[in-house]
Amino acid sequence: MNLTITVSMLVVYVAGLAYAVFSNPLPEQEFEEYAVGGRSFGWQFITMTIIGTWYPGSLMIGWAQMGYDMGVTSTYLIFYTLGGLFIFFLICSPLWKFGKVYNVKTMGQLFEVRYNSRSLRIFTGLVVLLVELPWIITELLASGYAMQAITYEKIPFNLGMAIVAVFFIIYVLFSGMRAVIIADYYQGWMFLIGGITLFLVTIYKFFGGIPEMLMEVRNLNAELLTIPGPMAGWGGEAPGALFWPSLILMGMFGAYMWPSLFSRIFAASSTKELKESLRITPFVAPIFTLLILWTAMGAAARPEFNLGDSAYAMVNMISNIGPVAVAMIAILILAGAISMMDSMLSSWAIVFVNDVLTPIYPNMSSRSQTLITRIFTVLIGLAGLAMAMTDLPTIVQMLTRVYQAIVQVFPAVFLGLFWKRGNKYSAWAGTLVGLIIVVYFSFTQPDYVPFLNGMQGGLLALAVNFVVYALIAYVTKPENNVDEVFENISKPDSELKRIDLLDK
Amino acid sequence: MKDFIRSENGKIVYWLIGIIACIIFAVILVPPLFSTINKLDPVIMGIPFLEFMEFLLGIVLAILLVLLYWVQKVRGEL
Repeated sequence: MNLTITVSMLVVYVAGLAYAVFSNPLPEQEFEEYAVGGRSFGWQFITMTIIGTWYPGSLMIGWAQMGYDMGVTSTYLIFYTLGGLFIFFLICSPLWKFGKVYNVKTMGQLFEVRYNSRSLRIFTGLVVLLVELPWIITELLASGYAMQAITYEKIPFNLGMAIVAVFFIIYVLFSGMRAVIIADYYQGWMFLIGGITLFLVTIYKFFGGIPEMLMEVRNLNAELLTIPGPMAGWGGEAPGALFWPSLILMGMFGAYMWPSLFSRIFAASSTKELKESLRITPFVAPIFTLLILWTAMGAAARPEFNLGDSAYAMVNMISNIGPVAVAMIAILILAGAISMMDSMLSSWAIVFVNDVLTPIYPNMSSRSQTLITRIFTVLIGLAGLAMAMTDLPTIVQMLTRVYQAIVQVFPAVFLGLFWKRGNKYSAWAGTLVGLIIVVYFSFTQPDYVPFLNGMQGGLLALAVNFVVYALIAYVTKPENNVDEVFENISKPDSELKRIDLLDK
Repeated sequence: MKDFIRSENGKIVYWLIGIIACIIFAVILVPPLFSTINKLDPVIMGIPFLEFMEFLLGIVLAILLVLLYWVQKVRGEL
């Protein structure tokens, strides 16, 4: 009976998702349609695609584990989400205009237009690809777990991952970024309604309310409610005072540098639509996060649900409510994982074809670009699946390390959008120095640097990156066409005109 | 209010929003300031102090973001 209930709910979820995606085919097979949805989406879609992509399936496993073991430290996510939205507010307008005027679809193309450097475009394309790949793997792992849970282990872990992978590869092939955004819209609503309801019901069922839950946590282990949290969670020695701010700052600066989120900005139909998304996202996103992380902390007050791995304690607690709750939490994990993976997969293939292959083979037609992107979508999806079937380090540890590299493109993007003085030399030098420092610390002090009072190596790298960018910009000349480029993107949306600066 | 925001002096609202946001982020990010909220007591509305402050500061930051959007809209800068 339980299996019938959970599988029925899964079928309804998948059918709804499939209907939403497959009833919206590509209007034409051009690359701009495939890569950025023809720059046609309104604020409702932009809001939900940000929410859908922001919350991975691993939030309810990896970050829930952080909440369970380290308590309130995990809530850095709330402030980095909000800080990231302030940065989104600053960059979305000039970035979208670059896209509209110069047919920019990726970060690499932005750099080629802004810095007159095709090699920087290829380099950036390769870096962001390498950095983003682990996410597909971690999310596949989360989806394998969800499929196993929702079918009461009738579907084994690896088979579950494979089913999910085939499903989202097919719909990404169908219509690229358009499918991704429509799928995220559907799943964003699932988060809003299903997620918030499920976590509130869980809190009220087990504790009688949020204050009661937090007071119970306090009575059991008060260290969970202040930072740095219980020493046991840190292996006996907590990082210094700069660890918490460094987590937030790295998240903030890196948030929109992920190719999958970066390219969403180009999918909007106007800068107005992008900014209108800010009426909802800043409230919904942090409240949802807080509910998950507080519930995870609450699970620490119910040790009977920790069956040997704290990553699953919160999920076990929720599942104890009954089969409907089992299905809902598994579908939420699946929705988070799928909305993250489809974005990553589609961005990965688009960036590879657009920023790596196209500069090498500039005579490729727009339709050929679309076809090759589809082929790479299949190859990358299957490669990710194969890698997910091997042993990997803890989810959050991996992601934290990855973040430290992605954030190193932030100075070149941010200063490039607002400061005419920046040029290809400053962008190259700042990014390279930042990446070298990150690689050094990734091998020596991957989580935090004790002699920097707990600061993450990536934040030090980012500071050096900014300084190097500014210094080199001052001692070298700006790009010849920088005034013209800034002039072209300074007009209102309705007065922007397409300029074919990029041959591709 | 809308007339003031539309006026040349209305740009000051951006600065006000920016300054409030910077103060909040300073409280969250600068260790000596953060230590003033990193504690369990007083309990407010049944919620330990740090958790209550996180919720409160989060809501204020969200309101500031909406205000930024609204000010741009009123000034016709969207």
